Amino acid sequence: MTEWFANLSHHFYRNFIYDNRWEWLLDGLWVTVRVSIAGIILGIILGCIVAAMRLSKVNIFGKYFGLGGIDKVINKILRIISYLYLDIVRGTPSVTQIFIWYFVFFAPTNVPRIIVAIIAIGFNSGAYVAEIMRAGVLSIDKGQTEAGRSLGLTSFSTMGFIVMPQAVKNVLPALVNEFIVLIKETAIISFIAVQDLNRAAVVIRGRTFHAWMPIIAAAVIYYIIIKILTIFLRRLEKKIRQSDAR
Amino acid sequence: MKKAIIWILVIAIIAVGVWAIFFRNGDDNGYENGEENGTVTGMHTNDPLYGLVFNITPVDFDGETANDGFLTMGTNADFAPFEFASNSPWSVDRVDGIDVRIAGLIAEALGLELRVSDMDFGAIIPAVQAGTVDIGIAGMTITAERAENVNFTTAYYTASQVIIAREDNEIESAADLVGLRVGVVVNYTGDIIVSDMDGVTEIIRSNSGVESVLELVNGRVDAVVIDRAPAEAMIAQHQGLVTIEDSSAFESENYGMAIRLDNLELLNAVNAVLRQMIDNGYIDAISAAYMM
Repeated sequence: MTEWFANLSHHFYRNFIYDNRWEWLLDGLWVTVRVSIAGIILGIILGCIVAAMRLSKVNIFGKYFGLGGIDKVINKILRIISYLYLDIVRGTPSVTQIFIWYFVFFAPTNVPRIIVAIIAIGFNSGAYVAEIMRAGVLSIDKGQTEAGRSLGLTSFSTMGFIVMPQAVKNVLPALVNEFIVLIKETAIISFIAVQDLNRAAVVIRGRTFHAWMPIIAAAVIYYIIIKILTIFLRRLEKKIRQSDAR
Repeated sequence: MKKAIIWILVIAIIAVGVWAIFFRNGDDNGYENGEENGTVTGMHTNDPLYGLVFNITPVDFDGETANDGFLTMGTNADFAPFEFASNSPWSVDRVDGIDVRIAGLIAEALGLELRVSDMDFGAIIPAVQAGTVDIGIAGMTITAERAENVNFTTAYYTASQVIIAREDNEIESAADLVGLRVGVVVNYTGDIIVSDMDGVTEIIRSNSGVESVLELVNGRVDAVVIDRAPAEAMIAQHQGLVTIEDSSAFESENYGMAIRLDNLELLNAVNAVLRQMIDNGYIDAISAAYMM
């Protein structure tokens, strides 16, 4: 037993303390956190835009110039573009997508690979966020919009002040789930040589040849960040739902 | 009537597909079994070693292996010409290369059949330690750190690291890498050496030699440090790249095969075969043939 423990502590020393190897993990964690946060933000922005495009009911030409036909064409184009985006992103693996971004689209440029990673992750996440958002908007009863409009609100204000707050509340659990998936999915950025947490564990393993210790360490760190995020967002959800319990 | 025609067509297509999948490989033209007891010849008329004969005496081995009756070799098939994905007649489990050819003969001399398990380079030594593969053969340089974790066989190849750069480079020695972005393959010897250098601006650890050279071609790194043989194989594929040698910074190093620390029986058996292959010139011949 003591021998086993001594052996374990020896390997712990070799894997994390000797040669400051924990710094690999720390640097990797920092990269993972940055890519995750930026990816989530980009995903939300893209997702909202695409969801709006999917539900687009542009009515400008018809209203001001009496040319409703043009509006119809615009709506159709927006819907086709957003549908194509969703279809392509959901129909291809994210690893393949990141390869395409890095080795095809950004190949001749000198954009830092971490930026490429963020774009690839955000672009991928955007499709899923868009579908979640669309589901949220569609889940709100049509009567809410009608009420808002008959109270004299513009369609924009109705969306912003009546429909969206309820929609976001409804889809928050699904959104949280998407963020969690995204954080874990950032492990694929090591495919384009970004030194993230997963890659840090692989590099340590390449130095110490210990089969599981660095990998388990990375797994524990991933678990902890996701746990923190979950706790934080669950609190937020509770706060939002306070008005529900009447 | 129409239905019947469609059915006949479908059956015909399936039959042709089955034939193509299962039987086409069997009647390989030019393939003749040139192995006789204890001797090895180039078996295929396209084989660079066609007609040559190397005598190898079988070695007694009755230890256990990861898969009964098989010698399972862990490798990273991204290291041409030592191991690369291929469907050539000499490929085993779709991997061909110098190491695969050598391992094939070792397995034969030990009375086993070769099986190749392709994995991450960094995963090979852990796999050997865990016993999921019997032997790690991947153009692996014998280093003190690695030797603490696995036993190495007799060295079978002498190599060194080189720098690959674009033709318009101003690199003359490894000291000139200071202030540059240097590409390496994660966990390769080049990675270990460059990680210990001071003053390199950024180390880009790609997943394979091909990817790190692609980074160089695309201008995302200024130089790549990698073993000489794959470097030469890769610059043959890309125009405008050159290799730079620096024997003082990159000492010559020896490739060995990694075997679990407690598996001395396999180690001795493999060493006995390897020594014969070094003595009878097989390793030189096969290396020269694959490096053409």
